[in-house]
Amino acid sequence: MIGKTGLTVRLGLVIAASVVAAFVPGLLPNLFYVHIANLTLLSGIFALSLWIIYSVGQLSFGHAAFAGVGAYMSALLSMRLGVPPAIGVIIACLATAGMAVLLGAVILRLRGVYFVLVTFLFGQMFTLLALNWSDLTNGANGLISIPAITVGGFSFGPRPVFFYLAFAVFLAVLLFAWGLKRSTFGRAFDSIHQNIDLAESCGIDTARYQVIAFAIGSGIAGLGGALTAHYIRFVSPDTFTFHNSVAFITMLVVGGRSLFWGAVIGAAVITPLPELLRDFEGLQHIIYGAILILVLRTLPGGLISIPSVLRRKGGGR
Amino acid sequence: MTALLDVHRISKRFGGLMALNEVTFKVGTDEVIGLIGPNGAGKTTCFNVVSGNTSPTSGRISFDGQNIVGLKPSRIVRMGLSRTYQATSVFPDSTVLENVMRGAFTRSEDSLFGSIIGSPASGTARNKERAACMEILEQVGIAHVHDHLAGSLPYGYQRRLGVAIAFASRPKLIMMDEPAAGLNPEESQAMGALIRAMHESERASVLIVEHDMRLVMDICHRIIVLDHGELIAAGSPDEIRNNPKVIEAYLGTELVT
Repeated sequence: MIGKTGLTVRLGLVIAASVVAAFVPGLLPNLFYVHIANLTLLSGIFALSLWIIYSVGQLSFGHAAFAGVGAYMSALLSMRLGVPPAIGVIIACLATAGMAVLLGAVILRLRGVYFVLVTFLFGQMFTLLALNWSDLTNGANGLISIPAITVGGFSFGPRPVFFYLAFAVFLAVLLFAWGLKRSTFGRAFDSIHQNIDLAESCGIDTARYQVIAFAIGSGIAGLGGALTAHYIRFVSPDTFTFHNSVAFITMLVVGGRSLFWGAVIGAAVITPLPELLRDFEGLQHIIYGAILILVLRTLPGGLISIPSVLRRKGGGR
Repeated sequence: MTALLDVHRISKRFGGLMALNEVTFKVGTDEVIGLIGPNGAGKTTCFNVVSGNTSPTSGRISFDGQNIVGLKPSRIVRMGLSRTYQATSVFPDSTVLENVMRGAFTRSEDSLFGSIIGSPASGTARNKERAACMEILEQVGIAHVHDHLAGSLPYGYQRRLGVAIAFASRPKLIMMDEPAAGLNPEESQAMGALIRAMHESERASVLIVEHDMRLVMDICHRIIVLDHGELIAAGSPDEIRNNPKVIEAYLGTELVT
């Protein structure tokens, strides 16, 4: 049975990854590296969620804004209303998805560069709102001392402990993306990506499926944003800006857009860069741009295409 | 004759241009109808209006007794009215078999949850679909390339694949926009035979726009002629062939010496 072997393989991989992950915080030389590992996992969540939107052929330039909405929402829920952060992140995820449904229903009829422009504007609107709605967001100062996520008195605040939470959520999102790709929804999404008119002619309600993909992707971004807020315990209008949206897209392109693995690889390669490039403060965005151009020129399929490119070159008859 | 598709006085205006002007026709069950006319007569517009890709300026369209004006194209397809496109239209980065399975998307017994976790029931449903789609590929004669990427197929095969995708949804009526465009005379004739065969085996009505008159005369029971957005004639192939209005539309009114 195809279904059964697929399930076994997946279970095996999950167990293997979990065993490796269990030792990671202990093996890393100091907390700084643990912090980088945590940020990488969070980036992985953002890149994967962006990939889900990309899988219906749309590129969102406002992905960080959805993460930001999730971050502010969960932070405010816990600080102002005393909602436990563990519940707050789930509310943030669902509310962000709901917002994406409303926005998506209006803007997803736009395609290509028009969609990109509107999502860019949405991102800018979010930043302006976060800056100027001071009563709620505390303006440019941002929200400080956001409580950490605690479950039954156990705090996920310390970095090595948060690692396990981030890893669990990342793994869940990864498995969800994998399952989604193989599912009937995945088939509909890819049909829309490849040929939207033909997809509609196949009886696939393209408008509906695009909204679904946008809502799932944005909702997961909201979840990731909320996790980030409770991890770094601080959120400001600068936490999730246009530059973050560009960074997520860079991860997708550098890793490879065709498969969700690409998003994971891209996150793993791109996230540590700013930390490693600390000495070149200010040049970071130029370096991002250079990497983007380099990858697009030499490896359009991203890093995940390296094996197949090598195979083609090696087996060239 | 019970009308499967009932198009009643539809008009479509693009700014000052009347692309369709009060066109009325019916397609019954188990019929093959040709829709012909010179370039710019409004044939493709007529298809787009019926399939829901654009809405008519006025008029009524009912399919299987239900109004379909204003419905999404995908909804109309699910009711049993499918279409093909003038240009080749496939999912280029998927295999030929996968293309046909996407055509059968709405008939799939696979469930969302089952397919996400990869349940045995989902596997069974998928195997069943795969077998049904292979049968369709056998019928259109491209089963031997089922595992090739659709984008890598030669042109003639891609056109056949387009037909297979449209038939995969088991439509009651299929509208084909120039299925033989770009094919050589032999291929064109084979396409005609294929459409006839699919019509007979699937018991689907066919509404076909085509410029290859030999193909149209060969396979159609009735023919409808459009010119400048107006219906100028309807009848059997023989009647159409000898209709002075039709000859005039194609050759013009001035005498050619």
